[in-house]
Amino acid sequence: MMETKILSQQETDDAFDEHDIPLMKVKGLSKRYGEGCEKCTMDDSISRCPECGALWACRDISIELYPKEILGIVGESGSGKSTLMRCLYFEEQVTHGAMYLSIFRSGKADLFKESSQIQRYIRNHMMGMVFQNPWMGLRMHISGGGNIAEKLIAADMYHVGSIRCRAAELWRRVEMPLERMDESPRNFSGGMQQRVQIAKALANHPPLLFLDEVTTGLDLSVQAKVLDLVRQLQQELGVAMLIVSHDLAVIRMLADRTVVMKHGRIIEEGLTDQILEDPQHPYTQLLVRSLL
Amino acid sequence: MESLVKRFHLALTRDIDVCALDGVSFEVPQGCFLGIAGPSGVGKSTILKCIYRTYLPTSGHVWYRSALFGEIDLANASERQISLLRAQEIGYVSQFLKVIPRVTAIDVVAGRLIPFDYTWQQARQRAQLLLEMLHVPKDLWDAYPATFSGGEQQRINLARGFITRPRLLLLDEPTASLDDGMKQHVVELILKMKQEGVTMVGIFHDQDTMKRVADSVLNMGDVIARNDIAKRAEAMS
Repeated sequence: MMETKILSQQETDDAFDEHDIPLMKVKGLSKRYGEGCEKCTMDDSISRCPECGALWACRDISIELYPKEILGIVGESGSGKSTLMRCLYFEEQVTHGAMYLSIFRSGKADLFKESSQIQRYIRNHMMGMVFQNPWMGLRMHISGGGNIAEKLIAADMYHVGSIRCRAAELWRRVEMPLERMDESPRNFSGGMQQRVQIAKALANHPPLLFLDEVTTGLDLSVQAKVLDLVRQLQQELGVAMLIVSHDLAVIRMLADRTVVMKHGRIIEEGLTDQILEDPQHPYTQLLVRSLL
Repeated sequence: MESLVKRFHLALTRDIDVCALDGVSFEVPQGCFLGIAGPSGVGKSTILKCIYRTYLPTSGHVWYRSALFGEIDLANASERQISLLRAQEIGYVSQFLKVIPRVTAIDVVAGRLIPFDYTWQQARQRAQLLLEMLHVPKDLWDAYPATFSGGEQQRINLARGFITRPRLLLLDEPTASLDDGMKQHVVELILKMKQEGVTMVGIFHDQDTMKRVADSVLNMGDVIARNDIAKRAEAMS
């Protein structure tokens, strides 16, 4: 029989930090396209205001992301998932709301109120993003290695030798053939382009990574490989991730917690297995039933 | 556990309400094994899933003395708290192995230790120990569990549940597809875990196994009968 305990009590006690504070906090984020009017946010079931025609892509979104955690965001297309992500990456200006990062000014500064210069600094040093469309995340007229170098330079790494070295390390890590590092990503397959995007996003060791439909449009075996890579990297590096997907299978495989969006609002949030096995909202029930 | 109720409200083409649990209460002292018995469909698994929060309890409380947060009501704890408790001190072994595809058997088990700051090498060593104890053939360690037989999958599942030595372990028919010899090994492991102070709540179909591991048994048939009598008494008064 077993001689030693499988895990001693002391080992388990030290495993987690006592001060469990969120890495990222988003409060009441709304994004409106168009002028807006007084009656605008009245109806929950439509995103477009019937009075003034303004489109509410996100309404009153509040989320918390803890260090090393993977939070999934699901919803049909047009539910506001990608807009939310773009707002968090400072690619869109929010209409209302605040965002805090615990690693920036002790989590006291609302990042949406900071200057664009500071936002760029935060993006370059603390965030990474992988877009659904590689053309958004990569520059196609420079080499794959150049794309990674660009992110490193943005994160204040200037020594050419170390840039080459780090780029090659990342290139290998995402299992890309080294001899193709100087080629334009335009020549790569969809799966390879996503790998280069992932390498680029991780170049600056960000504690926070945004993934927007990274496997959509890839064929199944390539999808599986990209997902495996994401999962391995998360385990290895402990990056906190926000994963947007319309595919519940992706969410089931990766996310600890999940929020469900519809018409720009969060309609349900919970532990991923609870969302899948005991969904509360009729829309989530429909979504889960569609999966099986 | 205090008068736990679980109702499912299903908005299908028409709304359906299913009442899976109607006021279940019990207590398990630390380091003891509570068995749950009763015919199928009576809500045994629902109890475990409510404790693990795969199901959201409709009402009632699940009081648990945790190492992380002290006494906490699992029925109302935040999702983050449940996440941390699951990673660190509450384990769940289901009838079926639900794991990430394309991960080898040994890594499925070892992976549970990674949040505890184990290196993969250390974690795999621990996992090997456990797989040996559960007599999982060596040549399967580096294969994908999805291709395993029911009994092999179940043993991987058990190894996964046991490796972190949780404070509370929930077992949902973990021996259903094992032969008698293999059941014997699992029973020994459960008794050993109990000796180490692990509190367990488990469902076994096989009465023999139940008798050997359980300190007390909650009979769901009795619970339902008692609730019925109480309700009738209430209606009469």
